[in-house]
Amino acid sequence: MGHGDKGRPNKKLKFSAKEITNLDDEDAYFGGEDIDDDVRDGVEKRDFTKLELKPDHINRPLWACADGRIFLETFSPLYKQAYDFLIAIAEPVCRPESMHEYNLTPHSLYAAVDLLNEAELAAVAEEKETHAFEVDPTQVENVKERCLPNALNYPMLEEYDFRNDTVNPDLDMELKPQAQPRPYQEKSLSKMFGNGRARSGIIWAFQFKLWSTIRDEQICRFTSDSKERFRGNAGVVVTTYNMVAFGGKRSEESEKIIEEIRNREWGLLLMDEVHVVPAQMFRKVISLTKSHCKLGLTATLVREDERITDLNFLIGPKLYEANWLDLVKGGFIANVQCAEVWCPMTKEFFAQYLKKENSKKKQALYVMNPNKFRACEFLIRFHEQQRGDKIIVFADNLFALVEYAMKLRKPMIYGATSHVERTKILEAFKTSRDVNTIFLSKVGDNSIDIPEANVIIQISSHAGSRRQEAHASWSYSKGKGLFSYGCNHSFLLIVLGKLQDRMAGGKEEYNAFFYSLVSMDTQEMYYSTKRQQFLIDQGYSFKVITGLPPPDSGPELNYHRLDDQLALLTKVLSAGDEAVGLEQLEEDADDIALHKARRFWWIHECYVRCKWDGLHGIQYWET
Amino acid sequence: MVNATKGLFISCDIPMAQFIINYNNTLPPSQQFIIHVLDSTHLFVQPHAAEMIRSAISEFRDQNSYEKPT
Repeated sequence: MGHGDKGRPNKKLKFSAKEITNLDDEDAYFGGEDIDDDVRDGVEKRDFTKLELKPDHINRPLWACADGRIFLETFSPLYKQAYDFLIAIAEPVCRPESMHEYNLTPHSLYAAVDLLNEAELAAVAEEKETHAFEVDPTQVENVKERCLPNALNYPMLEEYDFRNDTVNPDLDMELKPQAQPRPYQEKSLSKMFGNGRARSGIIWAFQFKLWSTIRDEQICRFTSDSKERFRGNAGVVVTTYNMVAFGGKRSEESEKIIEEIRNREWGLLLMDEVHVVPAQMFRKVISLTKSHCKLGLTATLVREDERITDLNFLIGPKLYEANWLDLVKGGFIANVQCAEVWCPMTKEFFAQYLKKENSKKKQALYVMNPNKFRACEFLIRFHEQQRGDKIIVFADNLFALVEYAMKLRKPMIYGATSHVERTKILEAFKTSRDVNTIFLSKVGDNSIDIPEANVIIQISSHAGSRRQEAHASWSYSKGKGLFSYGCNHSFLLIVLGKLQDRMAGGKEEYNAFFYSLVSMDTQEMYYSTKRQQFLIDQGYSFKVITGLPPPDSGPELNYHRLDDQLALLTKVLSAGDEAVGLEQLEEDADDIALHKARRFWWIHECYVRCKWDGLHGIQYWET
Repeated sequence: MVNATKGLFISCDIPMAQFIINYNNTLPPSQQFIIHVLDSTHLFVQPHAAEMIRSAISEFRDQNSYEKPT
């Protein structure tokens, strides 16, 4: 990332940025009709270095362009204030360390309605007649949609006057004293419950875990495994989208529960990972559960079906979004060293990779590349022996997962692993000094809690390949890249928890490692370059490592001898096409799995992020 | 008696040599350009093939790299 990652902006950049700030209200600047082109084409066409700085330029961290783009200097003393304001009215486009780029969109402005203060609203109300009426619950979605900028364009605010609600019982629940909300969490919650009223909205979040005084009998589960009726007037029900939206015939037991859910007036509907839910399922859940107030949580609003905008009227506008790098700096999430390990293909594997008749085995060939295997083995040894780390090796290719794990004699967990077996392996990984590495596939809808791990090695980094490709070409043909909006999201971890002890190492020190192993000259490089672009836009640094394992490593690592490599090659080639492809899980037929697969490449970045933030759970495995 | 053949000497890494060999094999015999595979990183090919090889490699590389849509 050039000079950008050195932690301090270089002088020239800073200087020109200040100049640019100065142009904010310079009439002459907006003169040309081709302003958009000029701005977009950048430095060559518009050189502002000769203009003089305003005396108070220190207090002007923003530069707004005529085309709706806004730039923010993160090194400004007013950065924090400017950021909070900007994130409420604009969408982040790209947020490297020193300079952020934002964009004003109709939807971001729609969200900004929330910023109007009470006084302004009161003033407006005084001048005009006020009408009150009740909207037919089945038409609410329609009404909201009609108010959006592309329709009537009426500012609309959805509020729940929960303090004055005497009809619905209160739930007796408070935060435990030791659960200290972090600054960004408080900020986002204050947006939600700003003036004593609760607004529906989406808060970008990754994970939400409330440490509260709620009693056991006040909380019940409604999932495929556990169908608990709830008792009392008020309580919390934890369920899944699938359970609520299920369209087929239900068991008598769950029919009763769903009836209870349907008939009740809910105070708050809290929806996690809102971006993975297919729009139709989402609608169903919302229409089925009558709630006064909806809070959506997500780490990103990237939705592959391009239905993100639906969320604007299904839930409400985005309320808050935290900047990833600020969270790292604040020590709220671990500082992860992201590295790509480039592994050259061996001669024999690459020769087979290139052959037309092996087109369906490409993935297996580059994942099983002996050089990659050796790099993986080297990294495992290094982290186990030199640093005493706990390591997760991740592969979505079942064939590779099994081959790697068996060869290295490490335990593995994949779709077919029984619950008992899984629990046993995870327990051993957490407690035993002898089990420091486990292999994982995409394990389906059961979340796994492994806060101990601090190293992730990913041996197949793209997955969902065939679907993803199909989808990519579909999107491109529509003139919009699959990930063209991939840099538009960021991460907020709404989490109440303590910092991991590992954080004690200091902020500059890396306390977690994420390696993505990539076979060079193969399709994997495509996914790799895509991921790099994403990381750059997020302002994230990563490094590329070549020459692993070191040239002097020999037979202590597997597949040193050509014979062994060739035997492996024969094994890959003789396996059926289906056997060497992606692991197919039962729920793959449903949309959520499809979304999961499509999201796969960047999900791994998120995965690392949630892994070491001092809390528990791998959120994206939950549906 | 010594025979001399004019040709192009290509030095590259192992995977690229394999790529060129594979490319050569997909062509009809009359268009094949490799005169000798010297070892895993060196090839001897007909002199006119240079541009063809270059563009084939460049196309292959483009397929494997992602460009951010603008």
